[in-house]
Formats: sequence, C-alpha cells, structure tokens
Amino acid sequence: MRAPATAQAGGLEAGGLQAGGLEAGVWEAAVGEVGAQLPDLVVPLSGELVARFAEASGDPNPIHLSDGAARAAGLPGQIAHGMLALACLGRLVTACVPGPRLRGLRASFVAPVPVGDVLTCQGTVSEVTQEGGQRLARIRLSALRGDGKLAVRGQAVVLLPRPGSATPAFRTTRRGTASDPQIPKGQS
Amino acid sequence: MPALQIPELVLRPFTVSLDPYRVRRFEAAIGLEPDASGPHAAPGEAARPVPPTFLFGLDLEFGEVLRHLAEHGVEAASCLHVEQEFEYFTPAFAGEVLTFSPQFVEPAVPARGALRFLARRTLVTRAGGEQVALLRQVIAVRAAGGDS
Repeated sequence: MRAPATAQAGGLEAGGLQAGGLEAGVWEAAVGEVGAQLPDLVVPLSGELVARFAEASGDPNPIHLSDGAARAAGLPGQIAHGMLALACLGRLVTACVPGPRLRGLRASFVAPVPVGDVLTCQGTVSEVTQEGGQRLARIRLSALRGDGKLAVRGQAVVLLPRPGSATPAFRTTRRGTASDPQIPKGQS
Repeated sequence: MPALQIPELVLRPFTVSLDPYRVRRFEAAIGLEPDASGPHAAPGEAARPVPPTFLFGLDLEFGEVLRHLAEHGVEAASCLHVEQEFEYFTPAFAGEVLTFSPQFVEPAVPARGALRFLARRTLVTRAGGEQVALLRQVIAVRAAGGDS
C-alpha cells in the first residue's frame, strides 16, 4: 500500500516528505528490503513551476517555455523538462535515504509530460545486493503522467549501512519522527 | 542542417563554484525546504549535499551546451533529452568549487528515421582530482522538418 504525499497546489511543498530527519533504522528499513515501496510523491507541473525550474537549472530550451515554440518543433505543446521529473524522482529517494548514500541515479525519458499535468513519482526496491563489501539497494523508479502513462523510467542505487553498524549516533534525529511520512514496510 | 560531427569531441574543462544561492534556488524550485536535512546517516556524514541532479544544470549552463550545439547546426528546440545517468563517488556541497570535464562521445544508439543521437559524458572532480560524479546524457535531435 502506498502513502502518497500530495503536493500543495501551485507548488511542490509536499508535506510529510520534508519533515525532519528519519532515523537511520527507519530509512534502512524503508529501502533495505526487496519490495519495499517509497511513499509516492505527487507533483503538479504548473507553467510557473516549469519556468522556475528552467531558470534554476539553466535550461531555457523554448520547448519548455512556449507552446508556440513546442508546436513549431513538432511537439503537441509545451512540455516539462525531463530533468524536472528526474529531480522529483531524486527528491523521492533522498526523502528516504541520506543524500551521501546515493551512489547512482539514472532515467530514460520515455514520454513527454505536458505542462499542467500532474506527475506521480514512485519507487520500489527491486534488489538488495552485496558487492565488494558494500550492501547496495536498487530502487526502481517511475514517474507517471496524469493519464497513467509512464513518462520516466529510472533507477537509484543506494549504499546501505553495514549490518550491525547502527551506532547510537545513527539513531538520533534532529527533529524526531512525529511528522515523518509513513514508511511502507514492503509488500509481504 | 549540417551533419552532426560532434561525437568524440573532448571539450575544455571548466570550473564552477556551487553558489549557495543557486543551490537554494534549485532546491526551492523542486520543493525542498531550506533546513530540512532529510534522513540522517552516520556521524560525519553531513546533512544534505546538493540535490542529486543539481550538477546537470551546471554542466548545461557553464558548459554552454546549447550554444555549442547551435554552433554545430543543432537548435535547442529540435533536441529532446532521452536519457540521463549520474554516478556518485563523493557527495558535493554548496560552496564547493568543482571542475567539469565534458566530452561528446559516440552514442550507443544509431540514427533512427529523422532522429539522431548525441551522447555527452562529463566527469566532475574537486581540487586534487578527487572524483565527485560522472554524468552521462543522451540527446535526440530531430532533423529539420522532421515530424516525429
């Protein structure tokens, strides 16, 4: 079962996912098990958001900013940056995993996302492996358009703590977990 | 439209400071709050590196990718980003100064109909040569006048 974190209209302020630090044991449980699902991240891609992302990411390609330019380029209309969708998928992962633990992130942009659509970002742990003394989790990522079509297919690779390495410092949190998102325990 | 002769072109490295204002602006654009450090890890692992995809924008902008493509007859509007990959070696933080070493490489995918492909690979390092990340991207270019 998924626990969606719905963004507020007009922005990306997805309540629960931002709330403070997760305990190490909690985040590890969230991604250390095959089948575990990250809480969905739902993002409305307004024209304003896309324009802000264009500026923030240094990508002024007109197909993202002008309907006319997009149509002239043979697209059905203005489309969001693939990298905006991937940034959302990255955020989905780093809401559950400490940033320094991310080892890889990749994506194929398989269908354009029209500006104004709502993107649903999902992640499911597909594999946990031991490689060269490291324990790695692979998280299968997808970003779906409002019509349910897959827009971005991707994968994140995360370095898990060594078993038994959860020191007391590991278990501390900055702001506690009261408002943390529900962490799915996987599909058993 | 001139033929795409970009593959295998090694470009000049460039150095960029990860301006905290720019990092913050990027975080805000993707909905990250300023002081939300996200899940904690081990002691000594700093709270929050720059967002995972942040380096891409620096490569694009300071690497002048769009200008470079335009010089080779490729207009931005005819480009679609089809694949992106990041490999992370060490986390990068706001305030750091990093060097980007980009090159266009032979794309793994051959031309298909009106679409041709470009592949760019950028290694990001910090002073002393420590590797930070490797960025790989594939861009599809629609031939002028192509409908698909």
